Amino acid sequence: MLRYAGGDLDAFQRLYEQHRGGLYRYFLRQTNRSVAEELFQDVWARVVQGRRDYRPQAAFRTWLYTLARNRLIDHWRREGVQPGGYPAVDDDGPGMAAVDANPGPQRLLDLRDCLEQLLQLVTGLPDMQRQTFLLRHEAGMSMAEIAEAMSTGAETVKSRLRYAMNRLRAAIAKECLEVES
Amino acid sequence: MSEAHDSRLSELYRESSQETPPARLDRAVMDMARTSVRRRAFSPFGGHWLAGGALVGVVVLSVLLILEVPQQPVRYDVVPAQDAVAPASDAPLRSLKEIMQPGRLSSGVPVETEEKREAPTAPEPRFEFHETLSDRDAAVPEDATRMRAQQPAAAAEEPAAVAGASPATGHYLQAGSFRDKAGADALLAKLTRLGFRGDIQEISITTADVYHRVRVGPFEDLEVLDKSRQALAERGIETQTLEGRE
Repeated sequence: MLRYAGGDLDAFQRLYEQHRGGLYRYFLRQTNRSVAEELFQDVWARVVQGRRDYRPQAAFRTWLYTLARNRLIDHWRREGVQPGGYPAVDDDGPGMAAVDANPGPQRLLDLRDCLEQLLQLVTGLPDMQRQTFLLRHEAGMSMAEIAEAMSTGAETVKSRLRYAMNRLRAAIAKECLEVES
Repeated sequence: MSEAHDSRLSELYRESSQETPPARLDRAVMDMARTSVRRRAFSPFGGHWLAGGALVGVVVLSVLLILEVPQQPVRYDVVPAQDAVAPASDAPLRSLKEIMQPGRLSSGVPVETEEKREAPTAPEPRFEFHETLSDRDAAVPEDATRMRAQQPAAAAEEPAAVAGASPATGHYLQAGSFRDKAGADALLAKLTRLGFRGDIQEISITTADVYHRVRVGPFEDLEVLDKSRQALAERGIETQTLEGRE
């Protein structure tokens, strides 16, 4: 990033290639496709505009996803959309699975069903849990990095991630966890 | 057990989450980054300084221009426009060869007879640099001298692109600059249809940033360059002069 701040376009391209997929899916899991595209482009525009303000104290990834998260919250606020349709209070609690997605024993699940179901469940997670889950799985960030990007403590991050995993595990069809891919 | 399930969940998620941004988004982002780098490369002192510098430049150039303007308008006989070459009802069209006489183009004096062509009456030199250019003209071989002329009819007779074949000296008119080669090709094709000759010059701003500059020329004679600029402007193509001899 520092090299791009100095005008090195190749350095930017490497950063972009490294983070384009994760950032795109981070938005895709939390909005619809057209909004995701808009926010994605917007965040990169902020990276481009803000490159001179970038300070190497923060990892580029943390900075990128902090921008992304702020942009997303801003979008929700402007649109008056409640993120994920969940109330902001009670957000950190273990909660109940939104749907019992376990099908009857007669139904034979294949891997594709499992993948589809999991994506839906992730989208349906409470806001904070979903963001934590995505920063972990899409951005590949450590607990400390997530804590920094979300301006919270590492312990909170751990709990949120644990709740998210519990929730997903409880909701997803049992067969999906048994099957070896 | 739950830990094993968690890693299985993570694994499943990685498998399911494979979407990537569409190519047009990639292009849009890379364009933004490129534009930003270029803009900064051109304005190392920031926008305000650039605006101030541009203003000073305009003032200085204006003063220079006023000082350099001749007292009387210079008469040009050669108008490098298709309309001008079109046959007029009261005067027969002069032969192409006669129009293309290098002496006419440089001096602006109509040549009526063979004797006069041998010894053209040179106009009183107003500026030293014109003289210099005329001298340089004389040294240019016949072929090259013909190429500099922007006569539409003449251009139509010969292959359009003169890149590489043109003499390494002379001024150009820049008709456009494109990042994509196709845009540059299209403009060059249009210029060729209009009877102008030119070429495409590749300009590298950074290693990743190449521009295709569409030029008309080269011109040895600044008067011809000026006429061509007017003719192009009449056809809706604004140009800027590329100084220097490369």
